[in-house]
Amino acid sequence: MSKLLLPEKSRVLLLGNEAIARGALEAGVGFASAYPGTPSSEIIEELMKVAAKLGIYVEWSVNEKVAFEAAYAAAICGVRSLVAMKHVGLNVASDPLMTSAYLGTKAGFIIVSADDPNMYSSQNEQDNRWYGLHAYIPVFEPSNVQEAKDMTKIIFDFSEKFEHPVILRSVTRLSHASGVVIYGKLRKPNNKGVFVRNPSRWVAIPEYSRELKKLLVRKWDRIVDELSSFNLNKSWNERSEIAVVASGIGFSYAIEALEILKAREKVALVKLASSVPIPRKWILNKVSNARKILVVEEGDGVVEFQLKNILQDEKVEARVYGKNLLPRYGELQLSIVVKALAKILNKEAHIVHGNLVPQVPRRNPTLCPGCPYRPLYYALKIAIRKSKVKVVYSGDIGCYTLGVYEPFKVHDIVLDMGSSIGLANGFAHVLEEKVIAIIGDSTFYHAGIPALINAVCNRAPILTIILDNETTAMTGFQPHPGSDKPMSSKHAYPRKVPLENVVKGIGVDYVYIVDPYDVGETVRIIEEALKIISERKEPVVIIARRPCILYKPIAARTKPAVLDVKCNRCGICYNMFACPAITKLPSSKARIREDLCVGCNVCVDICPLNAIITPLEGKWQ
Amino acid sequence: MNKLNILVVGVGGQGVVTLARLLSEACYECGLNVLMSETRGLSQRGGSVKVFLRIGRVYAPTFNNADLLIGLELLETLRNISYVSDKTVIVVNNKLLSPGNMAYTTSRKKIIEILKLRAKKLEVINAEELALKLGNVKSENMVMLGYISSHSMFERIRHCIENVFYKSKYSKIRENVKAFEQGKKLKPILY
Repeated sequence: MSKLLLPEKSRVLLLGNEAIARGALEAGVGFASAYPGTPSSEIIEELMKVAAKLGIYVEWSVNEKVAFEAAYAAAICGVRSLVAMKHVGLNVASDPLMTSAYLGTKAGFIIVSADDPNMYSSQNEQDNRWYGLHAYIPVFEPSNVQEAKDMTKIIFDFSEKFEHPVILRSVTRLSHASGVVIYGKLRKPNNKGVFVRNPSRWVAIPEYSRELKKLLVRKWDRIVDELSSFNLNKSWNERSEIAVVASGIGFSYAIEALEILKAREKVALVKLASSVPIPRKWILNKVSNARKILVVEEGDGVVEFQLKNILQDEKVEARVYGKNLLPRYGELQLSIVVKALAKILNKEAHIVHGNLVPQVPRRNPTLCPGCPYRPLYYALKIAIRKSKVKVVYSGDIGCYTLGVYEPFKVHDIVLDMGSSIGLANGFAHVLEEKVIAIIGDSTFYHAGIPALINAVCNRAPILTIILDNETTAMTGFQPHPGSDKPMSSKHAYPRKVPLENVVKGIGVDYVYIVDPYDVGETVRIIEEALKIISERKEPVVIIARRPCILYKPIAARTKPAVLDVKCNRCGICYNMFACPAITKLPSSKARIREDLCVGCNVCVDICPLNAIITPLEGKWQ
Repeated sequence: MNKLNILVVGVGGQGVVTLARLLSEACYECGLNVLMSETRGLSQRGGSVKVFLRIGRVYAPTFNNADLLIGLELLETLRNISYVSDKTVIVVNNKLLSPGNMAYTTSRKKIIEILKLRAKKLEVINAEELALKLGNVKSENMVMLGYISSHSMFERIRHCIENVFYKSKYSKIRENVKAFEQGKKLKPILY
């Protein structure tokens, strides 16, 4: 049995994302959707595992915008719904987000935004709490794993009470933290709804929207009031002259920093459950004696900005510290919070200074041994050299972005999901170089299709290479519309939408499918494709198809070996193909590392001297 | 001691997160409060991996000073030396993996020298060597787990580490069981 289904009062060690999933189940969630993205993916993964048993509907959607709209529709029909995404995913879903505040909801509707401060697996570290202010949608922030569960459950009620969407903001250090959680009761889910026609509420045409906006700002004022009596706001020693106001994971750093400085009794500690909007009346009351206030929050100064505004309005004279003492980028750290606190307490901070880090070479993540993208990049570089053309590589987001590093260096720009083809639409019309867009399968379904349509109808000579490894590999092998795994909890078998059908349907005349393990053929096809974009000035698509080696490991692992007498130290296998399973010996000859080799045997083909060979049936051929 | 900060580091693919997770589950099973923080996604593709594990009365998900640094690889241990003070015990696998195909000139000996100089105590474990002898280098993290379970620091939760390991799927692989059991008896090279 999944640990998410254990009974009330169970004490369970959970990942933050699992806690959010359990909280949703305790709230009786009936519909959940997402597009995968680190650090948010485990929420839907875990719900998917229990969906059939509970009779709820869970799906991986094609992108965040669709995931949002699907969950939102269920919510306005009276089914409690949750949509989860990483921070940048909310940009994709920002169109429905903005207007969903005008229309509101019926049943509770939670948008989980998992932000990634310090960008462990992201292109930026935007603070999505600004979206709350921008869209008039409250943002709640749990400070630990237990609270992630409790808060998820409670804000379903809050959302339903105001018939309004709410954002739950997590961060990497919460989503991917594990802690002990005590369970509440599961609530029976409701998975069927009713849609009540009411055009003046649900149809956002200018005439109705003008009225809806007036209702929205009034509702916002009521939400601000209600949050002043929200019972997840907490405070200690309110009468002190020094106050610490903290939200989310910032609170966990703040309370420990106060303990380290032995200052719990001297300082008013004010914990906000909602960082947007901050509870105006409540917070004014809690900091009324304070002369100095330190705001501790991860990301931008969202609470600080609102607090300064309120104090100015109410003519409260207190000095507010925040992002002037705490970092404006990256994550909070205990030592930094201790230092900031010590400063406003006029105390010495006894920080044990760690050792300076000596020069240690970086260990970049790399494509796995057996990854089909390595031979593809290798073939691409050969084809470019043979064709004697200059190129600009328009890259995209996935494992394959690792191609930016040595030795391939095949991403000249990476901006956002699907931008490889989008940007290529511009490059192709202003540059002399040939433009190659490199995009993964899941990314193509997510946001590449409209850009490719654009390229077709505007005759942009772009070579688009779609890397089809049958799964969304980087985030943990979630399915996509071309996978052989179903995308939702409702169906046991997938209804595939093959890439080639999409590409041909769009109207691309030149479509190739190639197995990147066949390096020679891949080189030949890329050369041909480059010729077509030069001569005919039309878009060409190559689908490089081979499953991710981690998703579908090779069954019969016949591992190759290097024949020492034949190897002439050319270094092609370890320098240019650069498989981590091939090492350079002190003699500069190559050796296959058996512990890392997965037996793809592509290196056998790329060795110009046939010095790498595969044993067949236990004998050397 | 009312709290313990443990940093577990290594190279993606070595089982760093697995080792940390088994340790945290053992703490949890023994009734201790535990908070573990990891990073996923891109960092798992052969890059540097770092997991924060905190036990006791703790709130923050990360820390700046480790009481114990468990290294599955020497270079990664050296990389994280900013977490080491003269109060830190380092337990490290005697293994050096050069990043990519770059030539790295610092030798094992040199790294061990630096670590020894900065830490309260350095225990170098021949976990890789033992795992290779047992037939699968991938069980080196279980050698480390076995060794740690017999460490005086973990006397109170030794039986829980044992229980958690034998309940886990990792104990279904024979090399892992041997690695865990022989790891318990492994003598460290002390510095």
